[in-house]
Amino acid sequence: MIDSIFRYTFMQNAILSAILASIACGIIGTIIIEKKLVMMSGGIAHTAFGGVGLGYFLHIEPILGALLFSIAASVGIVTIKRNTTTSADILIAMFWSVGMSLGIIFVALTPGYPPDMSSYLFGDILTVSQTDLIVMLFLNIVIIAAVFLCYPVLKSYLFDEEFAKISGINVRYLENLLYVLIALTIVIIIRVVGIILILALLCTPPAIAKQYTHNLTKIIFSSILLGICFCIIGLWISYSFQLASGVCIILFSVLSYIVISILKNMKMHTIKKQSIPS
Amino acid sequence: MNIIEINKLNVFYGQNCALSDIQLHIPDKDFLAIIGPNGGGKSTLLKSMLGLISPASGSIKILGTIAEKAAGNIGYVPQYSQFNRNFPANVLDVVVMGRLANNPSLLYRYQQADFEIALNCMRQLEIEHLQNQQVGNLSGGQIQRVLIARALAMQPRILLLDEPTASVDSTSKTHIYSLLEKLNQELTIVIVTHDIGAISSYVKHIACLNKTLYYHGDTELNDSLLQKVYGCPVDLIAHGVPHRILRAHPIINGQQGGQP
Repeated sequence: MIDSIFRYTFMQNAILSAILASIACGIIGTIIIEKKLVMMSGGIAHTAFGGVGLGYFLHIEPILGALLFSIAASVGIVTIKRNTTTSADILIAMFWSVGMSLGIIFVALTPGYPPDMSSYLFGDILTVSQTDLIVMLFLNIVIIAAVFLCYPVLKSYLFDEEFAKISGINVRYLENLLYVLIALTIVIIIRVVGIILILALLCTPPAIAKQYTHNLTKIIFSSILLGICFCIIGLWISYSFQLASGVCIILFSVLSYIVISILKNMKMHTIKKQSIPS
Repeated sequence: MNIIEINKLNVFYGQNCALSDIQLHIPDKDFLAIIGPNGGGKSTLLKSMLGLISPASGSIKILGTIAEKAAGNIGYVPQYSQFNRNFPANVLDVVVMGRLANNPSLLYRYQQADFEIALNCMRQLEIEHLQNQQVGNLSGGQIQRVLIARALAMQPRILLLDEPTASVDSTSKTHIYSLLEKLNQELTIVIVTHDIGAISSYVKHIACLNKTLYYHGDTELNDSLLQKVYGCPVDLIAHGVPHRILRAHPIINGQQGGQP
């Protein structure tokens, strides 16, 4: 694989996109785990499928359609949730299904031979284009800047939203911002692991990091590193065994999580045993 | 001077009336305990004062302005169970969050002075040694002190506490109460509690709340009044006996909103 990285542009694009996706994933994944917005992110991701369909239908870059739809979904869900008594769960479910349905309809309405949607559903890191990379880079810069600038306030909001509110922080703005950032992250990851597999790549690295540190900043940075490792090793597995890249990345991440958790558990067990005098 | 003035306050949750016709004036440097049965609207009253719940009618004035604008002047110690306990933050991280109240811009970064104020508040509560501990590893009493320190770091004029002794042992309880008594020299304190017996020796005034205000005045409570508020006999002497009385009872005219 090493010499093909130097030889082929698509391999270089694949590695770069793995790094870019892991940065966004590490930051936003950590936040959505703490704020319990994992399913919300799943809903936004699946709604983005409608945007991919719209992209094909209008002959624009599908990733721009996905960007439009995921931002609309995140703003839509949060606005409706605020103004009605409908619970977020129900809204997520509806957006999720409607987005997927719209995607299918748009593709069906597109004249000519139907495009292959599976690279958006399951990801195909080897087909990441120059345009995709530019979009990913730009969105990453937005995410990093926003989270860095608002970091102390964001932390207070994640820990205790009510207290943030009584401190006079504009929690509404912050919530809107966070939802838009989730939408941007999803667009970044779609090309790497696809809509259906997004959640595992968002959650697995911080879930592992959380077992080793109680420092939010450290969790973010170690999640980024773990994400990069998972993506590149997953890519290597897929390259060696001729398997779909998204699937290999996800299976490898989750497998690592399981192995690490079991090892950690066994270690805790021995420590407990040793501390009981026999 | 009254630091909090609540007039003809009504609060509804959908169709349900949570608070009705509350008339409560709290003077500066008061130490007021609000007691009453579960579901009697104690927490709702605190949240209305904080501007977290908007009233159906009536007015709440804090320091002469409406509750929403007084944000940052009121330190709040929430019920122990209301925040994310597994959040990856240490004690100093949490206490310094109180400093955001004086600088509520989204782009604020903590200054050296903020950490000094936070450490000072921690010293007052004797939790300085816990500063690097993760919040999830603390005991109930320690968490309660962390939350009080965070509220004090706001440097507020008023301190509102929602059942600060609900999950702590009796030694910590006494410690928290005597600390509040000390803080009361600088601050107006309003505390919601079930701990009727212990609190009466520390506070200046008591208000009895069950949807409406039954009594507001000195701390000399008698059994018949408590029976009226709770709807059944209440043991005044025993400490820490939970008074879980949910039975509704008719509103008695002439007992509401008496001024001290």
